[in-house]
Amino acid sequence: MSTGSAVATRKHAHHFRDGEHEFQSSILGVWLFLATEILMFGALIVGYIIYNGVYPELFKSGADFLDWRYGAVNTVALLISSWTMVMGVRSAQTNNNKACVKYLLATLVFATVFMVIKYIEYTHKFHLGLFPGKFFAPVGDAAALADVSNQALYFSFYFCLTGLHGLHVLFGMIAIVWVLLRAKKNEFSENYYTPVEGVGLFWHLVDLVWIYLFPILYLI
Amino acid sequence: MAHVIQSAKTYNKVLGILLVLTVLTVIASQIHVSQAAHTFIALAIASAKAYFVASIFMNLKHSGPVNVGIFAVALFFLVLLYVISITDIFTRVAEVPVL
Repeated sequence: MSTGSAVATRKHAHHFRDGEHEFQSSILGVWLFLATEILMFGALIVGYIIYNGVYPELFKSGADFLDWRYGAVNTVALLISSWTMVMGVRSAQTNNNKACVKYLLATLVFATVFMVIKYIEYTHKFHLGLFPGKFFAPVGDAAALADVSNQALYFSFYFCLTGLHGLHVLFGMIAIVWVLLRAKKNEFSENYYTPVEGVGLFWHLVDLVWIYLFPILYLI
Repeated sequence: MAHVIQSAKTYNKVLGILLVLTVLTVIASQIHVSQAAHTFIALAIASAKAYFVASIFMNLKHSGPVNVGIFAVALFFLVLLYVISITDIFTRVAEVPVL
């Protein structure tokens, strides 16, 4: 390990053999967590695809109230945020904490763009009475949906999938703030950047899930 | 630590590919083909994007076999869930009660 004065050094936790052992164990833990996330979102997406196949007209009439342009902008925002995140990790790996802070801040900005667009989409649906489950009470432009039997099913899926994903974006933002504050204190270096890497992996998964949600919800 | 540090150029390239694939998926959704074809094309493009995110951004390409294995096992069970569910639901025959 480098012990240069400009590079922050850190002693690994006592129950690990060395820094590398600590890093590999932590990242393994993150991957195990991500596997549970893949299965959770995956099961919901499988459910959506199956019901879409069983009730295509019902899903089509529901999807008419989604604007693909919002979804596309959100996709671009999340893809760029994934790039800024990975550049933040790279900055930590190359002992550049200043750049790491900047990239993490940029990631937060794009995450905020995503959440603001989600807010606009949600409020529009709430105004039209497009709620999930038993709260479904369409009015105005969406009033015709009241005559479609079981139409609430589509919006239950929509809010469940996007709501759960939105919560992940929110938790991801909190985690990014945490590593950002630590990067500001110059805590990361080529010798220790496990938290940035771990949060980065989580953030990429949030992006990965959206990569599937965008075409499934807005385009198909 | 001797970790593989990817070049910024690689990350830029991947971002470019992901953005191009996003445009492609939007264009593909406007083409007049069957619903099944739409679903297949959209999921194929999404999977191509997911490959780049997982292998480069999430660094699975240079990860050990254990991390790759965990990811693969999660995907395997997801595919299993999908295949078993659709083969059940879409092959059901409406039963007429004999009584």
